[in-house]
Amino acid sequence: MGSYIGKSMKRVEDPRFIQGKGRYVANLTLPGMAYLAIKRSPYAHAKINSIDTSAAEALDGVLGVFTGQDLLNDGVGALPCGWQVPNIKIPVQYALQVDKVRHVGDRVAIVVAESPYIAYDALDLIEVDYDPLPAAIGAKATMEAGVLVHDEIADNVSYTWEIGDMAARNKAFAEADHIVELDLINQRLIATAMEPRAAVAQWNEFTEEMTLWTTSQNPNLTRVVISAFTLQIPEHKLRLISPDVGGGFGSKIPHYPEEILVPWAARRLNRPVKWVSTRSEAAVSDTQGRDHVTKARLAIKNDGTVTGLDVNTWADNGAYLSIVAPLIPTAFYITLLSGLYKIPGIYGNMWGTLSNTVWVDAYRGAGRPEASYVVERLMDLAAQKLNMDPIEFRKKNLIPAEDFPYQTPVALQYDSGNYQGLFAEAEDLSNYAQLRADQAQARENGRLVGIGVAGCIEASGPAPSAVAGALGGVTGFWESGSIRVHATGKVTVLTGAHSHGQGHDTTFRQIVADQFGINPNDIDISHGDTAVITNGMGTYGSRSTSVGGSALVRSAEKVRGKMMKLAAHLLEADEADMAFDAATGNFHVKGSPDKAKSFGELAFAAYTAHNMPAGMEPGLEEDTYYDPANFTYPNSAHIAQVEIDKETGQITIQKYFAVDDVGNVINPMIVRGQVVGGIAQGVGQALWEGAQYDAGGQLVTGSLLDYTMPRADGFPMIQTSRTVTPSPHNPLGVKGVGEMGTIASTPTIVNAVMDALAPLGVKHIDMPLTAEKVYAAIHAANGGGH
Amino acid sequence: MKIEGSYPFAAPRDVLWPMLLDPVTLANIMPGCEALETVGENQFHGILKIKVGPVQGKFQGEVTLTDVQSPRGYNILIDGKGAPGFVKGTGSMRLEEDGDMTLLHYSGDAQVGGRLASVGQRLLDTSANAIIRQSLEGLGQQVQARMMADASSELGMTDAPMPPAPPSQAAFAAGVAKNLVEEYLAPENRDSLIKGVLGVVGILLLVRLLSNWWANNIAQKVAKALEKGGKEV
Repeated sequence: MGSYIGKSMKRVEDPRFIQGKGRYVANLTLPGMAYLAIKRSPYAHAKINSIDTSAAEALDGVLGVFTGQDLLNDGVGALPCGWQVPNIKIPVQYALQVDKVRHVGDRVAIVVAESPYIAYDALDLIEVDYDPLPAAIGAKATMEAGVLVHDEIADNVSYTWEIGDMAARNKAFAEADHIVELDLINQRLIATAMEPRAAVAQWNEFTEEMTLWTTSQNPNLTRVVISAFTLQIPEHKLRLISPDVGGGFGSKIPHYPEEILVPWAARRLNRPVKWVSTRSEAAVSDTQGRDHVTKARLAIKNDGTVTGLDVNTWADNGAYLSIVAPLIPTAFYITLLSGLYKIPGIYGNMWGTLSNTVWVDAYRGAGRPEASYVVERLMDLAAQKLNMDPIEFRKKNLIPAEDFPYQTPVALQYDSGNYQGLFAEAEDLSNYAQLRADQAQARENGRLVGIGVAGCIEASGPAPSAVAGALGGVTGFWESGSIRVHATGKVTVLTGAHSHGQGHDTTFRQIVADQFGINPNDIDISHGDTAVITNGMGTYGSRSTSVGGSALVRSAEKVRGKMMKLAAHLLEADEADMAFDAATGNFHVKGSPDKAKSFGELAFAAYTAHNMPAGMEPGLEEDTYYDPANFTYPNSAHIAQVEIDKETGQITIQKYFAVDDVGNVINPMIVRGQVVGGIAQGVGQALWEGAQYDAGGQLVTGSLLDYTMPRADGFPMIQTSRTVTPSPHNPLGVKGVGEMGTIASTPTIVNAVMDALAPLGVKHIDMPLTAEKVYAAIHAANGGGH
Repeated sequence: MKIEGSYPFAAPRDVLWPMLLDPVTLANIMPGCEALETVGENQFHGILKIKVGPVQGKFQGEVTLTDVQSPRGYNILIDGKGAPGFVKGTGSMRLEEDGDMTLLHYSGDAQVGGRLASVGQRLLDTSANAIIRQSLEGLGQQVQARMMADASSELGMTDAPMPPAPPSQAAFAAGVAKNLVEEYLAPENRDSLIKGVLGVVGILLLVRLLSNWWANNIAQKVAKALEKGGKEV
C-alpha cells in the first residue's frame, strides 16, 4: 500500500449521490407512518387571541391537531441557547408559540394526518385569531423601533460584546495621517441547502425508546439538547440518526422546534410521524445568515502603514436566539478583525439585537466572512486614498512569516502563516502585472473593467474547549474518533464529525489507510447515528479534518502501539527493536523486514487471543477525544477581474484566481471542490443574494423566484493554487478548507466591481451588487445623464 | 404594495357612479370574485379567489367605503384574509368629468402578508394591476351595455343586450402574461411578442369553448413560459 494522503481519490460517496440513491430522511417510509404539517404565522408580530382547531380536527384523515398549550401541559421545555456571553438576555422560545408570534413563519399549531395532503388541507381549517402588532425590523433600527420583540428585553438588545486594545486604537487614530471611514451593510442571506430539513420519529412504547431521523450537522449534540432541555427523553433512550444530509452551510446546526414536534407527536399518537419542510417553509424557518450594519474606520500613515481599526457592528439575531447565534457576531467576528495584517490598534464593539424576523445563526464562514469583508473593503479604500496598488498596500501590512505564532490585539494567536508567499503565488497565478496593463488599455477604450483583490483569514476547527468555555460556550468542542479493527483485518471507523457534502467517507479513509498501510477499501467510515457514535460534536466551522481527523490519528496511534507490542511478543523481539513500515503495513524487527507480522495477522491474533503478552487484553479497538490546542488559521489571496456593461449595469466575472493555504492537503480534488463551491457561494452574496423584509416584517424574497442563487453560468473557470504552511499543532498539519472560498470571494468580487467603478468616483455600494444598483450608481456618477 | 392609475370611460359621471356602489356590478367585473354582498351601509363582505404565481386560494374580507362624496368618489378600506395570507389596504377612487368622458383615478396602498407575500412577491404588483385593469375593462363594457340599453329603451326596443360575463381564468392568465411582457421586455420587442401572445391566447379562448379545462391549463402554461422567458431576456 502506498500513501493515500495527498492523492485525489475519487469520492466513494458519489456513486450513490449521482444516481439518486442517497439515503435522505425524506426518503424514509415506516409502516403506519403519519404526516405532520405546521401552521405558521402570516404576521411578523401579533398577539394570539385564540386558536380554533375544531374544523381541522373534524377533517377526515386527521389524527390530531395540537397547539403550544398541549406541549406546555406535557412539560416540554423551551429551546436553549448554547452560547452565553456575559450579561446576555436570552428570550424564551417554545416549539409552538402560545401568546405571541414574533416572525412570519413562527409556529402556532401542528396537524398530524394520514397523508401529507390531508395535513396541509387541515392547516387551512385552523382559525387563529391574531391582533397584529407593529414589527421591529433592521439590525440597528430595531433598537429604536419602539416595539419590543420580547417584553423583557429592553431596546431589543440581547447582548453586547467588545474586545481589543482601546488605548492603542485611540493612539492610532490620534496620530493617523488619514482616516478611512466606511458604513456598510452585510446583508442577510438564506441558506438554501439543496435538501430541505426533514424529520421522522418512531416511538417504542414498550422500551420507551425514541428514534429520530433528522437532517442535522451534529446529531450527538442535538441529542444532548433534546434530552437535557426540550423533550427530556433520557439520552440512553433517545437515538438520533442523520443519514445522508444534502447540504447544511450552518443552517442544520441548531436544534429546531420540528425536532421536538415530530417525536412529541409520534409518542402522543404512538405512530411513526414524518415532516418534510417545503422550500417556502425553509425560507421562513431555517436559520439565516449574516445581517450586520457596520460603521468602521481605518487609521493609516502616509507611507501606507495601517495603525488602527475601529469597528462598531449591529448584528440582527432575528426573533429568538438559535443554538450558537451569539457566538457568530462575537468570538467568530471581532476576533478576526486583524485579518492578515499587523495592526496594533484594533477595537471592536457589537450589539446583538432582536427583530421580528427569522432567526440568524451560522452560515458558511459564520462571522469570519463579515470580518474579512469589513477589513478588505477598508484596505481597498485606504490603498485608493494613498494612490497605491491594492496588493502593494496589503503587502506592506502583512504579518511577516517570522512573526508566527502571532498574537493579534483581538485575542487570537495565529498558529502559522506565510502571507508574503501567498500573495506572491496569487500575483504569479493571475499574472497580475498583465491584468493591470490590460485594465489600463480597457479603460482607455472606455470600458469598465475592474480587478479585485482580497486577502483573508479564518479561524477554523473550533475549538479548544477551555477557550470556548471562556468565551461563552456551554459545551466543549473536542471531537471523538474511534477505530475498531475487526478480526479479519477490516476496519470500522467511528467519527463524531458529520458529513453533509464534505466527503468524509473518502478523506477519513485516506487518513486511516496511511496510518496502517492498508487499502482504503478495507475501511468503512461510520457517522451520524448516536447508537453507534457514543459522543460527538459534529461538523461546522471547517473542523472535521483538523479536529475529527486528528482524533482518528490519535486512535490509530493507540491501535498501532498495541499491535507493535503484540508483534514484538509474537516475534520474540524487544519492542524497542521493532519498526512499523507504513508502505506494507508490516510490523517488523528493525533491519529485518522479513521478521514481520502483517496488519491482518496481528488483527486476527488480537481476537483469537491464544498468545497475548502478559497483561494485554484481547481485542483491537481504541477511542480518542481530541481537544485541539488552538484553532487553525487557513488564509487566502484571491484576485478577480470583472467587466461592467455601462448600459445595463450587468457584471460579468471574467477571471477568478484563488490561492489558499489550508496547510497539508489530504485530497486535492476535494479541497479544490470545496474552494470552488465556497467561491460560488461567496459570490452569491456579493452579486445576487439578499433576504429582504418589508417594513411590516414580511419576507418578500421567500421563494427562488425572488431570491437569486448563483448558477454555473455566472462564473468563468476558476483557477486555483495553493501554498502549504502546515498547522504546527495538529498531527495532520491541516487547516480548515470548507469556508475559506466563501470568506474570500465576497470581498474579492465587491472590490473588483468598485475598482471598475473607481474612475466614476463610486466608493461603495452595498451588496448584493445587482445590475439595477450598479446601473443607478453609474447613472448618478454621470450626473443623471448618459 | 402601492397601486395608482387612471382609466377613461366613454360615459357621463352620473351613469358611472351608481355602478361603482352596486355590489352586483362590482362582483361581475372583478375576476375571481365569488361573492360580494352588502352587510351594512357602504359595507360589503366579499370572497375573492386569486392565483398569484404558485400561490392560490380564497380570500374573505370586509370592504368599507368611507368619505363617500356622490358622485365624485370615495375612500376604500379592505381587510381580508385567507389560506394564502392576508391583505390590508386603503385606497381612494375619484371620478373626474372630462367632456363626455369620465376619468376614474384610483390609488391605494396595501399591506400583503403570509405566503402570498413571500412566494408571489414578483408577481404581486403585476397581478394586482391585472385584476384592476380587467375589472375596469369589464366595467367599461358594462357601462357601454348600460348606455346601449338606455339608448335602446329610448328607441322603444325591448331586447337589451346582456352585460358581459366576468373575465374567465384563461383571460386573467392572458392579462397577467401581457403585464409580464410589459415588465420584462424592451419596448421595441414588445409589440410583436404581445401580438403573438394575444394571438395564441385568442386561439386558446376559442378552444376554451370546446374544452374549458384544456384551455385553462394551456393559458396558465403560456403565462408560466412567458414569465420564464421574460426573465431570461
